[in-house]
Amino acid sequence: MTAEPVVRPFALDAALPRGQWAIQASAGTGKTYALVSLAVRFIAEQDVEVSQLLIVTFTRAATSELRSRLRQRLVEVADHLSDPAASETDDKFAAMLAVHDRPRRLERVRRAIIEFDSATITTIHGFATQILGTLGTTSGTDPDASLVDNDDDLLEEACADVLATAADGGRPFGDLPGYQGLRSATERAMACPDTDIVPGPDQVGASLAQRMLTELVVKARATVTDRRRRAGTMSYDDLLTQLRQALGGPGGTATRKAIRERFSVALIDEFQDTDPVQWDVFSMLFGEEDAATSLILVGDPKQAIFRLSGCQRPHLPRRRGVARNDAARAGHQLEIRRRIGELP
Amino acid sequence: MMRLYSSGRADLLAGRLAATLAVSPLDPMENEWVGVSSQGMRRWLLLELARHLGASKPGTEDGAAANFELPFPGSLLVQVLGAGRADDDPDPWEIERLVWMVLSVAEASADDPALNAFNRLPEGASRYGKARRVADLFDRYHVHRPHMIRQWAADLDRNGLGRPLPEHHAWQSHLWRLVRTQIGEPSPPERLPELLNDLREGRLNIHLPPRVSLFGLTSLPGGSSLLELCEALAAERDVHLFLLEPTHFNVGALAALPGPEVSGMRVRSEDDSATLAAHPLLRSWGRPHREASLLLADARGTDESSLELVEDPLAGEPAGTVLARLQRDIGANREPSGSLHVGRGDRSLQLHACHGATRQVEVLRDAILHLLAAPDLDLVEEDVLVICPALPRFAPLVEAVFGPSADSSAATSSGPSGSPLLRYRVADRSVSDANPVLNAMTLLIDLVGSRFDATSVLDFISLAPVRHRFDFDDDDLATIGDWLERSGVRWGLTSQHRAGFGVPATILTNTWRAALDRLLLGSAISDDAVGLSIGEVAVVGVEGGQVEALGRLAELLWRLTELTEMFSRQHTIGEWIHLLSDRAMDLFSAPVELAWQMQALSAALIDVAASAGEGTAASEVLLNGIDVRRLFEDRLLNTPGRPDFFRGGITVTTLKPLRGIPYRVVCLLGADENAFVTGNADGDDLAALGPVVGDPDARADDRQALLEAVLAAGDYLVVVREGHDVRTNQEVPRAVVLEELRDAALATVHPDDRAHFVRQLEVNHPRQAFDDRCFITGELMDHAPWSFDRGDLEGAEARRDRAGTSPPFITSPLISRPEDVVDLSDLQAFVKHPVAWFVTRRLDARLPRSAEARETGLPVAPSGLEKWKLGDGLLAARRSGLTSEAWARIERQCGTIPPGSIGEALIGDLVTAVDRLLEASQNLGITGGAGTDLPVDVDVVLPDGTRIVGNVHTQLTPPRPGPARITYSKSKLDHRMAAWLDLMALVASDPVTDWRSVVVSRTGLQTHPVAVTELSPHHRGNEGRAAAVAALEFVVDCFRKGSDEPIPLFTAFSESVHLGKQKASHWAGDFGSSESTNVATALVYGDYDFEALMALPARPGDPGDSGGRVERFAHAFFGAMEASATVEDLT
Repeated sequence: MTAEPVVRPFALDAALPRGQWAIQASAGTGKTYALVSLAVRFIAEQDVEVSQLLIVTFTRAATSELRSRLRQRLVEVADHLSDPAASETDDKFAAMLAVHDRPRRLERVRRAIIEFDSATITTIHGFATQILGTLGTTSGTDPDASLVDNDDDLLEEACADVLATAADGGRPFGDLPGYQGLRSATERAMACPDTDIVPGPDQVGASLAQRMLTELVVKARATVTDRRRRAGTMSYDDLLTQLRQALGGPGGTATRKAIRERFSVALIDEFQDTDPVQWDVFSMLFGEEDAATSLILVGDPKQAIFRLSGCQRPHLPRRRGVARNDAARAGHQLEIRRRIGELP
Repeated sequence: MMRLYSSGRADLLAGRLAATLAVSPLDPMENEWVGVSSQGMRRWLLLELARHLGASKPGTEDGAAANFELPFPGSLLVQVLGAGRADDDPDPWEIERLVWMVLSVAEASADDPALNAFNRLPEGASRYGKARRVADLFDRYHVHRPHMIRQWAADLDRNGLGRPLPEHHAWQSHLWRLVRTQIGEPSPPERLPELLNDLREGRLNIHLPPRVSLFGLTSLPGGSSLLELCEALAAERDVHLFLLEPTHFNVGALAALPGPEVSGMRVRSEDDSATLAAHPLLRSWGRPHREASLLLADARGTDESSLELVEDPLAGEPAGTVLARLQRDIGANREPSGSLHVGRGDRSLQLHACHGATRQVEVLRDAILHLLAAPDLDLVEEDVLVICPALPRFAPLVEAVFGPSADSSAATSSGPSGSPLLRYRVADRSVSDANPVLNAMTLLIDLVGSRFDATSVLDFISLAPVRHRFDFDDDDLATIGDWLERSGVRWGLTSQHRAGFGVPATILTNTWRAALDRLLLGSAISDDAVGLSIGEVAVVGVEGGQVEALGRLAELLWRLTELTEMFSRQHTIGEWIHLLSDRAMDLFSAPVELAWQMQALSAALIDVAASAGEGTAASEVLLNGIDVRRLFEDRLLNTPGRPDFFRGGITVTTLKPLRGIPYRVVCLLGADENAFVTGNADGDDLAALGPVVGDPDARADDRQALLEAVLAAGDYLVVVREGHDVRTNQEVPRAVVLEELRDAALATVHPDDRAHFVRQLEVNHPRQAFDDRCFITGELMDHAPWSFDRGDLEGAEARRDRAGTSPPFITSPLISRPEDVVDLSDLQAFVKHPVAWFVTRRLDARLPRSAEARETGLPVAPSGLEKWKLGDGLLAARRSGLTSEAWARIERQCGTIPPGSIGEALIGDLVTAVDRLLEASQNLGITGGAGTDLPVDVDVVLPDGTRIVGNVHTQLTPPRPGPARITYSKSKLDHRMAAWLDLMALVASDPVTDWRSVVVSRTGLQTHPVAVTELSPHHRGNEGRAAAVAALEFVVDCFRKGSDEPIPLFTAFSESVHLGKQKASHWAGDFGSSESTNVATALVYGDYDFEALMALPARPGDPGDSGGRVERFAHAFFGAMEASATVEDLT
């Protein structure tokens, strides 16, 4: 329905992107370098305070690497700006920044270094935890629930119970899925909360066994949710699902406004790995056309690990494509076409 | 009159306090009132004052301090608010009571539309938890937004910064007013202005001496409210504020900043005071102090006369080390000058990067030992403070790595692996960490809401207070573990209990009830008879001596069941406390000398009950199990235990309790990014949404605690952090705060010295404590090897010696003990597994069973092994005359069969498979049943005089009699080897009979599911006997060798070697069935890969004449089989 957006080459010295941008970068093109440089430019050129910066990555290791590299870069740039002549490096990026407005930019970068600890550089789950916290009592989330990383035990007991219940209820053995089959289907269903599991109960042409699998996956998923509530725990997926729900809820509007006011630049790394729920959260927060926050998505569409994680398996329909098209529709697209260690 | 004293050093400040007190002592009947900011500071200050006060002459430290009251500053406010209130009439606005007020009001207003947003309780959330959070909020507002509360009281909905309260927060003021009505007394902010007025004019009757001091303030707890209070107090009394300041900001400079904007408050985001801080660490870490300075300046104006800067006698001396210079620069608030020349040996500031948490603790231990060992430093353990932001995670590691404290009774001369023992104390843990009974109580509350899976219950039974109450010793626990396994407990107390989790109560098996029935029956009758069951209960045998333990287990489970039922209902807090007290007595006890543990639990329960009050609306609120769980988490897990400071040795604590107290060595353990608070705002907290100067801020407070730690370190600051991920080996960047510290240190150092300073600043430690580099001088340290750990040294040396090759299991064969008479059954056992024979029979070692994780789910998908056990059991049952139906009934009772249709299908499969095996054996003439099994005696004399005796059970009837092995297994090689050995023994004893030996087994194939393999001797008569005797001679030879040393003879693997088809995957395959995973094989040959195994050289006396040992034994054994018998497939 939408025309394929025009993809233009990305350049570090071009005008800073405002609004929504997607930067496509293949492996080895210096994606992190681009992200760090953009952040430095926002700070130096546009007086974005480091506390107004939101950088979201997907793993904890990526988060700490990015944090460390951004700080290091700020220190290097500050060194260069304080005395461009004395600086021995041929750091063209820093040199570019030194051309205009040098004293003010130096002051901004220096302040960013001092206040660096207040930057929000976090994983998607860390971000979700923070935002849910700011939603408070009205978020519909149990604030006392503790986050659990690995829920395999719960998944397994739920599948066993659901299967036992069906078998005890006289469902013929031939129609029942195997335990392993049920487990892996439920695991996939839990990983993509938005998926409708097919075939539905009334679907024409589906075999009894297929419909039975659907039924049991739905039950197992509900069982897991119920048991988590009893135990006062929450999974990371729950966290995001609840955040999305809360952002659309009563306190949501105020929160969205507050978040947009707090962050003037949001950089999302590895956006190819955002799942539909995560994407919804970002677009609810920053996605409106007139949003004050610049939303910049950086990623390598060729590396989407999410595609492999199962949502396109036969009985769990696609949703992933939608997310990426949404991302693509997000305003403008830039592509890093060659390695950007240096400016031309 | 109010006086201020400022110093960067707590010891100087304490000296100044002592001087103040000594100059004008109070009336001896009055307590000296000194407010302190922490438990640690309280104890330290008292010790410090005792050195100064009443000393025999100046300079000596033989004084004494008595008659002191050292409360927290917050108690000043409590005093004022409580003025005129009787002791037995507690303040209803006090936080512990306020929680219950909020809860009861929220309950009573469930239908109030204005509270809609608030009353929607997320599923699984607790109402108590919610009330607790709201009460905390209100309490915070009372201190930090009194103005807003007064507006609320006057029906004005404002947000604290003078703007209208946003609609989605409107429930807060509404609820607050409901609580206010319920309490029926004005709130603290409403009363306070008048109370302060009375205080100023001396009309307020409070129990405070004429002199009040607040000591060691690094920030202002309570912000401007505290100052207001002090100012009012100072009208009639002497108020002394002793400020522990990282640096002192000039009042003039502070006053030059823009003034307060909103209702006398400064909005934090508008605060420019950071520009006053010249030192980078003061800027990024010192905000709470800066804000305190601002508030003080606002309160006092520019008049400096009431302030005394306590003189530092050392201020004039040169600061030679990096740490000293850093501290000096911070204290003087000047930018690092980059002029310090750093000595090569300057280790005053040291960073250590390690792999993972345990290594961090090991490195910390060695770093401390190096400092203690240095003769010129004259350090003792009391000089060392270890602060750890993530103490709950690190405390167990510290205890494991440090070993018992050197002064404890458990201490030996050296630590866990031969390192010197340290005297130390992990202080500042929660009450439940310190008290096993309280810990057991929280676990009990968790347990009753859970599924009661086998593992969790066993863990609960193993808790010290439970063990003590039910008198379970280690043997009992092992027995109980064994019972659980045999009786098939998976989860659920009873089938009704399981129904609560949505599992139909028609599934009766695998519950605790079912298991207990089986065990109790087993204590009365024996389980000898196959498949005995009475009234649908299959017996699990219990030994006579264990019956008593079983009784105690039954009682424990009964009490848990009862408690679980009560937990599923609602009760008032009074009823809950009653219930929990009773159950605690039923379930826990402590030895007499530890009676305090039980008393602490009773006290905690009484405390909770008291906070709700008696006959109040709160005491009528019905609470459910989730509420009680939250309540106890709140009261037990999050409550700090009794502090254990200054009792000798190294103190290990969290960031805060000892902040500001000087130590010669300060160590920061676990200085990792995620250990420091990131400070998430609570979206309900109106104060946090619009913070003003002086508001509490967890994140900034954490940073300032670091700043204080840097300043408190007298000689050394040791920072230990994670440098590499312990699993992925990925490098972990320094936490931002450490980058900041490092940058500040670098900026202090002269540019010429920076290169060598960076090198000596941080040590990158190797992954393993037994790495060579830990023991080589110059690798991690210039003048000494790093590690003190003798055990690790031995490890490193052993690793060097091995140089890549594994030593043999034994270096030479054991002394032979040849026996003249060999039992045929021993030969059979040997042939079945030669390596295991050596380990278990010659060495008499008991091999561990390969441990499988305890199953805690319903048995819907039996593993291959479980199916095999069932099939094997069915085959045995059928051969002993039982019907398949009878067998299935018993297995169902045992809980080994999956529920419903899955179980039916499984039984169907098993019965079909067994039917086919039995059909095949019937075709061979084997009818089964009694009397068809005929033992044939065997007695063979070998040429060397060895006799083989025993008997062979034969099932096949003449004309071709012999043994038949009917097995449910698919792999039949070991059965074929056993069948061959029987055949040889029979032929050698009686060469005339036409013997044969048959194996009936499954194939796993659809087309011909059963294999019948028949072994016949090549020859009968004398020729046959000679061949059989030769074969037996060979087996006995192997048997003797294999009894003196492990011989590399295996079943499937050796056969593939014999056939020339061996592959590496046969040896070390990924499949559990490969040879090298067998426990005995793993023990003896576990270090050998395929190539190394095949390269094992032959020994003198080994059979054959070419190839390695494995090949020789394989060819000889399977060659002997081929030479003596024909194998024929009868299917």
